Amino acid sequence: MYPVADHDLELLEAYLDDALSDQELSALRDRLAVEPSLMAALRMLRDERSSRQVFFQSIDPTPAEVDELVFDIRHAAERKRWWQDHRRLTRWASAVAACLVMGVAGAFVYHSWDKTPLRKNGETPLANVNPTNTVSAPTRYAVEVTDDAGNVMAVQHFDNESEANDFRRDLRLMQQRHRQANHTMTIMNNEF
Amino acid sequence: MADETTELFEKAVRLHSRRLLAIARAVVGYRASPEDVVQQAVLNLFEHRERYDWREPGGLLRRAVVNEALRILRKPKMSVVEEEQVPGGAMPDAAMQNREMVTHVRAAIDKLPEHFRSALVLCEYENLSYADIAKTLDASVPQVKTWIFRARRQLAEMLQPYYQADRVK
Repeated sequence: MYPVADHDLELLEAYLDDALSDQELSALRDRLAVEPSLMAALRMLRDERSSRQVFFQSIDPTPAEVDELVFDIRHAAERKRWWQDHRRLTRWASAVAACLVMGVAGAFVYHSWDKTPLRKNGETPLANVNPTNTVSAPTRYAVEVTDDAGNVMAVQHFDNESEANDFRRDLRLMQQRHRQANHTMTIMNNEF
Repeated sequence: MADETTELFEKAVRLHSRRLLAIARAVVGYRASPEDVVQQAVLNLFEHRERYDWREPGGLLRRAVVNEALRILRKPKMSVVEEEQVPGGAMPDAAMQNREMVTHVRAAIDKLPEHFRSALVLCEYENLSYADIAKTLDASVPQVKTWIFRARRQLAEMLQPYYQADRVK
């Protein structure tokens, strides 16, 4: 196809690319002057190059296309910048929101754990039922037997809440009957 | 500082867009939108704009666009962008011939391997030195020389029938 070898073609291409040193350039010029085949190859390469240049000119965008591209890039860059500026604020807001949520959740959990079942129904003037926890043993319930002044006279332990409540109820009934009996006797004393 | 960087960035975009778009067109051909390639490449740089020196951004922008174009070309599936049709009508002979030549050369360039094509575009359209092409494509100078030489030879082979017909004319 070409009247010269590949390494000469490479040399000619480098010459057209303006990539030869002064020494190489001088040597090539000397050869071109005496080698017609090298000159013919150079002409062929120039022709091919000019056809490629026609293509490269065809892909050069018009000013309108460039303006449109610059407009699009500018708008996209503005959007990106806005988002970058607000991303820091969004991060702060997210962190505050996360702290609030964790605080509320923590408070809810704390209050849920604080409510043990017997505290609300275990208080009476004469008999108190309190759970006593130990690590190894199951929960035990204690009913305090108190006098009218509120002094603890005895403590009865139960393994479950219902037994403790039953005992407390029975104790209260017995104490009420005792009080009524004392009151009746007082009235009778007043009559006689 | 940030405003100054943004200002330099905008100036660079205005100054280099035409050539960047042409490079993208030559490298991606019809396999992707060259405008999208340039926009994506430039926005990637904009996102980290503080890291770069925008006083001489030509090489940076060129490298970003070529890399983005090559990245797009390596994607497994790509939509083919329709070729813009020139409005019909009578065309002067020279213009018709040129158009025919452009079509042939474009088809041949599209068939080149990506790196050959990129190196050739940077050499013959951008008139970059081998060293600058090597820097842009992250390759060695001998490698770039080989790519360009092979690209030219492959193009010559593909376009041989056309050249012969042209020489006969």
